[in-house]
Amino acid sequence: MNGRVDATYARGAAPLVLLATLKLKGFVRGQLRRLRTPTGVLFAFVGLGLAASWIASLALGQWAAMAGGRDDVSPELVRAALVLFTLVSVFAQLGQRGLYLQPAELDMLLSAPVSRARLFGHRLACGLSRAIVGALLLGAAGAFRLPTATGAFLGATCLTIGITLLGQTVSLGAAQLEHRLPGAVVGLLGKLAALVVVGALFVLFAAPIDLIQLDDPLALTREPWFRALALPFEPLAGVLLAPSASDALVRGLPLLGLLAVAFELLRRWPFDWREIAVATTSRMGARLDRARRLGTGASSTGVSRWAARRRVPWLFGRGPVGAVFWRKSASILRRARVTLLFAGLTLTVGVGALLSVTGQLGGEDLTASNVGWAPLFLVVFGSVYLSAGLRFDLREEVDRIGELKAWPLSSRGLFAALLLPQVAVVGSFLGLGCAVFAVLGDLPLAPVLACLVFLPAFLIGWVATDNLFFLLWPVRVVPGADGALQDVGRASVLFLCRGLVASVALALAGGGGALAWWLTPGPDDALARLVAGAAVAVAVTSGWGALALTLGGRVLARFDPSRLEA
Amino acid sequence: MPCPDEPIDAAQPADAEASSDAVASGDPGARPVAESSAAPALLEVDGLAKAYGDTWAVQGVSFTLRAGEILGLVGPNGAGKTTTLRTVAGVLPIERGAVRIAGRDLARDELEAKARLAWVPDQPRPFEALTVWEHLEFTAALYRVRDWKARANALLEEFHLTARRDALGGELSRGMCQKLALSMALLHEPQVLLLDEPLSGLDPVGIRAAKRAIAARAASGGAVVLSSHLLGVVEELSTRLAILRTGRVLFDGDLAEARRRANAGIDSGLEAVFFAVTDGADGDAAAFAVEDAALEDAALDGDAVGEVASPTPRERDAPRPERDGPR
Repeated sequence: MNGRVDATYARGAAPLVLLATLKLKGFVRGQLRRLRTPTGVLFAFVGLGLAASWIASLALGQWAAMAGGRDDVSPELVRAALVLFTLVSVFAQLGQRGLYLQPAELDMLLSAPVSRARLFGHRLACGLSRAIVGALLLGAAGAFRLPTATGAFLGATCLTIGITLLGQTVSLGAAQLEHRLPGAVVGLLGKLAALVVVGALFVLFAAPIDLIQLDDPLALTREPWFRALALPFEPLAGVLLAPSASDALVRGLPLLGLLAVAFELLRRWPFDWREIAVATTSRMGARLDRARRLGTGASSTGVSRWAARRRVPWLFGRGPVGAVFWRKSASILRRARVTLLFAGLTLTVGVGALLSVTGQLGGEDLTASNVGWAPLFLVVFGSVYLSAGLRFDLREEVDRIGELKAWPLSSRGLFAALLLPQVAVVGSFLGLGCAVFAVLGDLPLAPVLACLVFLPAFLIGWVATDNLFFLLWPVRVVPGADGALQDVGRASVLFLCRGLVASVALALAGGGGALAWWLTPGPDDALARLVAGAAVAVAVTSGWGALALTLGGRVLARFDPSRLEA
Repeated sequence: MPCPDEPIDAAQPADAEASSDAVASGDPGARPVAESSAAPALLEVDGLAKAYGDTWAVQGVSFTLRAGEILGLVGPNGAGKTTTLRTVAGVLPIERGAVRIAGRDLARDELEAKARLAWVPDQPRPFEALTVWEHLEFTAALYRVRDWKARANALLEEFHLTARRDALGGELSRGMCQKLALSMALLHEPQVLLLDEPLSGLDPVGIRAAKRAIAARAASGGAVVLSSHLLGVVEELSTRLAILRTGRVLFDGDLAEARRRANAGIDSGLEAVFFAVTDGADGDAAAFAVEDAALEDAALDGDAVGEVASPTPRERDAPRPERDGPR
């Protein structure tokens, strides 16, 4: 028998309460450690300021808008919001089926004398503590929109706790079903679900007028089927819409009691989830590890076995630069098929919006001076937006930078080769977008062509500057990671700095282009002026790109990966 | 076996204490004396089977481990060593078969059984925000360890972690994580210690400390399962050997017996035996040859030790048992 073990074994919750306390203490300690340096304080201040201003805008925006009197809140709107919020949250949980334990919890607690019910309760309690933080945000957002602040905060608390419990139930139930059913049946069910979602989207987009009355979108909530769907949310809607604080308490407190009962029932669910937890933890651990290394963009998604079957062509030959390009292309094509699809959809929506705006602004007069700004807008903002979403640049490789430096390429060549595939992908998207925009909008060809020539120069300049800043002040933002507040602050400051550099480059290019336009002889020949202006602008932007690539190569040669904290 | 509800001090058998003294005297290679069959069985694994989808990772693994024994569990990658250890540790549910720890059935009397074991995984992952000392504090609460601070300090000293006592879990190197995991595992002096590659990442000083601790645990009446690819370490520490391949026990016995079965020379090391057993012309043929011999032995001495019980084809095709149920 163990010599040092006390009379009774750890059947109680005391060790898990101790664990939660130690984790909280560790979190606070970690935050305080990050405040030891002046930059830590500065970036925490910026991050906190951003978070506080966001919360304040949620709460006070409506207060300012009301200017002294509350608007009547539509009960239909509240019900619709509750149904929508719950459905979205539950569907999101279906994507992460199972039960996630921290790896340390999995190793230490599953082999320790702790009952699974208590361990599950501990995980649920951790989830609920996060839910209560979310409830504070939601409550702040609703405090001036709903009849009482008490109702807003109490209702938000009930909502977030209920969604956490429901989400975990759905997640575990789906995992159990998946675990029991044969793989072929699971695959078939997944395809059917995808089909239903695609069908619903098609119906929504194909027949919006029949289904949703645009002048009264809430008419949908008065349909009998929607009323049936919203029926379980009626008590919660009652709390949110309670006319007085006491009424909100009378309605809300019993609801909290019911949720406590649901918590206890879920905790005691007679189901051995160990195997599912091991699988979920392994899957989520790999995902979190990718997010730590690669950020949360497209490059952090997993490689599908199906995608890996297809060969990727060697577009730039079999030399060192071609090899790096090929490797990055394979990473993009095998990782980010879904992300590429969504990028295409986003671009489609963007082009559609631009067409609508230029159509309204230009009317019949679609001259270059009237609508020429639109493709330029698409190029500049599309480059910034898509580069952030389709991030297949140096950040993806930063953990193996030592290995990369041993490759037979100059630092500048390596820096350029690592960025080119991302530039090619984003550039292709935007080039296609410009072409579609020009054809559908029946725009004059000259400004669109000028923008297409300007696109690669600007994109290289932007991506190279972005990566140069990353190498100089490396920071990776991982949601929920320790020190995320400082990282958000630092990332925001660095984004502003990059934006400043790009603005200066654009101003120089624009100024040079305007000067060339003005100096070009022959005031009646607009095309010649446009060519001259665009040529100067492209030359200045290319100079910016070349400078950023050169500096990037130099910084890469000196980069020390141990500076990365996340 | 004393009742678990009674507070019990570490009372060791005289011979075990003598062995423990030998280990403590500074001889890192001091090997605990293997207990006789009269020593209490601390770990009984009977017909353990585990499948991932349609693939059987473990097929009818059986062995019994008595007080003072160190079982070296070896086998190629994918042999089922880690799955076996994870199932015995209670991390994975038992699909088929039974596991008893110090007489407690792991399925029926789970908490009592788990209170008597400790498991060190192949890649220990501490809590990132907890310090080394807080990990020990938490482990002490988890297993209700009396006077844990003195014991924890001694373990930190033993594994050269005293200077890192306030370091965060997220700041530890691989070797430090391993040392911390070993310290946590030894804090409550478990009767059964399951170790999956416990020496990987350790520096020579750490390896020496770990070897001493493993030998000392066995010498003080515990039973240790040591899974490792470091055959030299297994040979040095183990009193018994189990060779796994494709989820089955190919051999279970001592090294001398393994040499005899593998037709290896008397001076052959474990490496030669390992390759002779696992790299034969046909894995299954070799397995059956060893199984037959093992079954004969078991029948002769009427002992479960060394028993190999792979499921018959009929058993393998039988519907898999319900995995879920209240615990």
